[in-house]
Amino acid sequence: MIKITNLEKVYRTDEVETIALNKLSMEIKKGEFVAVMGPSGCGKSTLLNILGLLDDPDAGSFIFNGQEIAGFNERQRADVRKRNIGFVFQSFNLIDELTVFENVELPLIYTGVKAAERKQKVEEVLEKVQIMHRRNHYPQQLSGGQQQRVAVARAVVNNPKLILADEPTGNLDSSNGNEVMELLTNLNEQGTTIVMVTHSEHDARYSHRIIRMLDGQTVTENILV
Amino acid sequence: MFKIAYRNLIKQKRTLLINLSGLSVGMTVSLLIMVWVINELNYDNYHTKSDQIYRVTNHIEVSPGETWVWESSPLPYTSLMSKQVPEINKVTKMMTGTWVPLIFEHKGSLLKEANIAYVDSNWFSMFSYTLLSGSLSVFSENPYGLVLTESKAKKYFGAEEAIGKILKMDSLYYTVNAVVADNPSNSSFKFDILSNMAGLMKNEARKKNDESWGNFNYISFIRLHENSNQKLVEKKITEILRKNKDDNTIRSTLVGLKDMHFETGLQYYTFSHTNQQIVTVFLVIAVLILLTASINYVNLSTARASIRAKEISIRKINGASNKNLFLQLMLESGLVSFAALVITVLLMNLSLPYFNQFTENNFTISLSDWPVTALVLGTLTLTTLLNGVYPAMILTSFKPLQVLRGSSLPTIKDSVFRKALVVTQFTISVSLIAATIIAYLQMQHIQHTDSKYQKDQILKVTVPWYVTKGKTNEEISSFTQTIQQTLMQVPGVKRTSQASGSIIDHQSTSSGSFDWNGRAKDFNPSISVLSADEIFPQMFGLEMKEGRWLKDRNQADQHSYVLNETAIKELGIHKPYIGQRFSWGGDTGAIIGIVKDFHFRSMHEKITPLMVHGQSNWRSTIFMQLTPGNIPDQLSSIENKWKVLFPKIPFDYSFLDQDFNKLYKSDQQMATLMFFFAIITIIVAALGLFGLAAFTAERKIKEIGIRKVLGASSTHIVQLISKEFILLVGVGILIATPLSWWAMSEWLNNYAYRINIQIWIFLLAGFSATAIALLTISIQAIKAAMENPVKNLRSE
Repeated sequence: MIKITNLEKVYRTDEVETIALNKLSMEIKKGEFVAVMGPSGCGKSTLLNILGLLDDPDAGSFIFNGQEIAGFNERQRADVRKRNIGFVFQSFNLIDELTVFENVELPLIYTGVKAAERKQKVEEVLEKVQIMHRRNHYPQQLSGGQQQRVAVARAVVNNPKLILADEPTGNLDSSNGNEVMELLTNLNEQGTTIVMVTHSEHDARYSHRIIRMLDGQTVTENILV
Repeated sequence: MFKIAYRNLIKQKRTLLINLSGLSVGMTVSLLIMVWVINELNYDNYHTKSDQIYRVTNHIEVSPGETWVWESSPLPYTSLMSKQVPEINKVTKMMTGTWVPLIFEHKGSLLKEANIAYVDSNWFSMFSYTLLSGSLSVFSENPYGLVLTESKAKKYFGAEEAIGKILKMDSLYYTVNAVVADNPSNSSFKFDILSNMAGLMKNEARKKNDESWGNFNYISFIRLHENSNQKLVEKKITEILRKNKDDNTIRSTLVGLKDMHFETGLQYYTFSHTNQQIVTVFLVIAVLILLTASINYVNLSTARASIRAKEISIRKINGASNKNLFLQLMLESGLVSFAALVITVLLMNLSLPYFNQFTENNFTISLSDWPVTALVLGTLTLTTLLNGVYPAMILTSFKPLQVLRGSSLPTIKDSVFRKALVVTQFTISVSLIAATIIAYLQMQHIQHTDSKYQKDQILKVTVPWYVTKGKTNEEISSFTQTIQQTLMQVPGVKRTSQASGSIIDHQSTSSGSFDWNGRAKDFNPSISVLSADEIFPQMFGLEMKEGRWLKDRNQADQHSYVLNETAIKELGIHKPYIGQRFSWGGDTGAIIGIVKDFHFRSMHEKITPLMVHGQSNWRSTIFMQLTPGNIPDQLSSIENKWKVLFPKIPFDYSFLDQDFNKLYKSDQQMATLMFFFAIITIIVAALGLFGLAAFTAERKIKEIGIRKVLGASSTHIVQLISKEFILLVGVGILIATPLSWWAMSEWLNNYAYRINIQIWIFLLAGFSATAIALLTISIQAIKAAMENPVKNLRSE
């Protein structure tokens, strides 16, 4: 599903040049659950942003679903992104002014799904993450775990082929964290590919494969399953 | 503390710039208006005991339902009332000379003076003047004495001493006895030459004429003793007038000196005079502009306040008391206000000369004048308080931990307040735009409504009345013929015509001495009276409805009359109109023609009944129609002929189209000012919107990021930011429409010929406000939409 070869990304400020990705290559197959680990600044977030088509690599090749993505413009990337990729963030990134239902509905609006169908899909996915009873509440009225479940619901409502999760349990206590990890595992079992960045060895154990990064390169790969 | 305040302000350059420019431009404009308004509202209050000074007004009933209100009285009136009415402390009277300007001869050149008045010996003891040199008591005793204002003295004598200098007027020599300071800009008396009335009375014929109780030629002022009953005095003086004039319907009233400026209903106004409605309108506009500018300031700083919540919270956790924080915020607000004050003073000084030129005033603004100081300080205190206290209250009431956790910013209540303010701003802007459009359309309407006469390339000169003084009618007729023939010799003069006044604004009316078949006994309507020669209708392209115009050489036409259509209708002349008996001033003749209606006064007024007669001794106005081409050459040839005909009268001409435009000068001024104010207001409001949109984009930066990640396009983002503001602008339009509709209908009622207000005006006003708002907001919205979302989503 994903094949990257010699991917490079360099950040420049006035004085400093930081190499975030240094000729990184990897392949992620359809249906895999991959955890990316490494110390702060090793390039895992940059990798996730490029995989999520939020950022552009400076060099190298990125094939997504058999299509070369490097060189796509903003509009083309947005198009591929909204059809194929769901995001789960550490800080949930829900919109405070919208209810649970409306937050989950957003991706469907942007892909042009009709209102009736949207309602059905949102309710379905809210049931799945067991937050249906809170559908009309605002994010601030929910606990951290509940908020992350809403975020997961939003990530999957469009049936994406790939979910990118950036430390999804980072802001949660262990029991809420486990709930979210169970949810992701379930999704993966139903066929969704998941790439998760994490600091937690515990969470990483839910995945099939752990990729460890340092200074913009992969160091080791542990296959768990 | 000061350092931090400075740093905070500099950090928010954009907000600071918007605040400063909006506030200082708004303050400058509204202060300029206020200076004018204050001046208008304080007319004549600088005279000692001005509260006790009144002008006598006379109400003469010329016909049931029609009363003429005059500011002038018979000459003997004042001295009788001062003898018979004990409440009266002092009386004085004045006369403005004649209808035509007087001509002074000085060092061989002729100078026309329009602002001259004859005053009696009490004038300077009732009214306050600042004597600069000479003696007012010498003036009072010299029948041929003059008092000049400082600038008039300078005009005649330059740096030389004016006292004792001689000026020649007509055949008489006058001596300058005193020089006084120029009239203040809030003075009704704009006269710069005052002459002793005693000199006029040396003319026995004039004295005899003026002493008749039927001639109302003198404006009388009286000063009452303190605490006198005005109504009682009015009653007492009315009795005196009724007895002496032998007229039981006539009535005198008193108008306070300070109320003269806004007086309405007079037949003619001698003194500087303003429509109170205009003053009110401008007062309202000044307040609205100030409000718009202050709203920006309040909106932007309260908006900023929520962004600063985190800083404030950390300060609180580290031990800052509410008092510390409050002072910090007040200091910042005070600094901005002070900077705005400095810029305002600068802008005022820069714009004052232009403002003076435009309003034809001579205002000086200094911070030592209390109204200006009060205005500036009042505005600053108010904005400082609003911008300091309100955000300070919100911010200091935060629960710091909640803020730091990132939840519950006190934005909800606060943003309702802000929305209301934005709606207010756009209500004001849209109203002013609509008002400007309507005023402009009305001006166009007036100037392009067919006046029903032609006025291109027509030159007008006036022969002073005294040229023909003492001549018989025959002599006058042959004299006017000579004038006509002489002027016709100039190449390029197509035709000349003479009449008793201009066709542009013919004010002469008469009442009471008209009669015709079928007139009710008590029906004495006012009829405009015009004497015109045979050429007059050709020159102005007037058309006859029936009958014919007057013929110069037809002796019978000395008793013939031409009426306009309105006169036929309103007087109820019987058919057949032509040949009907018509009497005027004791002379009986017949109606020989009906001229089609034309607008011989401004479009403010409806066409009134007009009677044209053929008595040539009335005619003092000469019209010349020039052929298009070399106007300057024609003018200098005419001037040469003029010098031969009237060596003692300066050649002073005007073109009729210019005279016509002058009729609407104050309307034009008003429309121009309105346009200017509308522009300023919309700019200030747009500035505020720009700041708010930037603020919204900044506050929503994370939401925008999330939405973009989830697939929102840039269009979506622009819509997201703009939607709310456009809604507010829309509400503003909805409020503004009925408001300005009503206000402008009231204004249009001043015009006899007015446009109808149409809905497209408001659509246009709303559309332009929306377009400006949209443009302003989208600059910010597009910027926000183009940003890379990743930057704003990184958790800290």
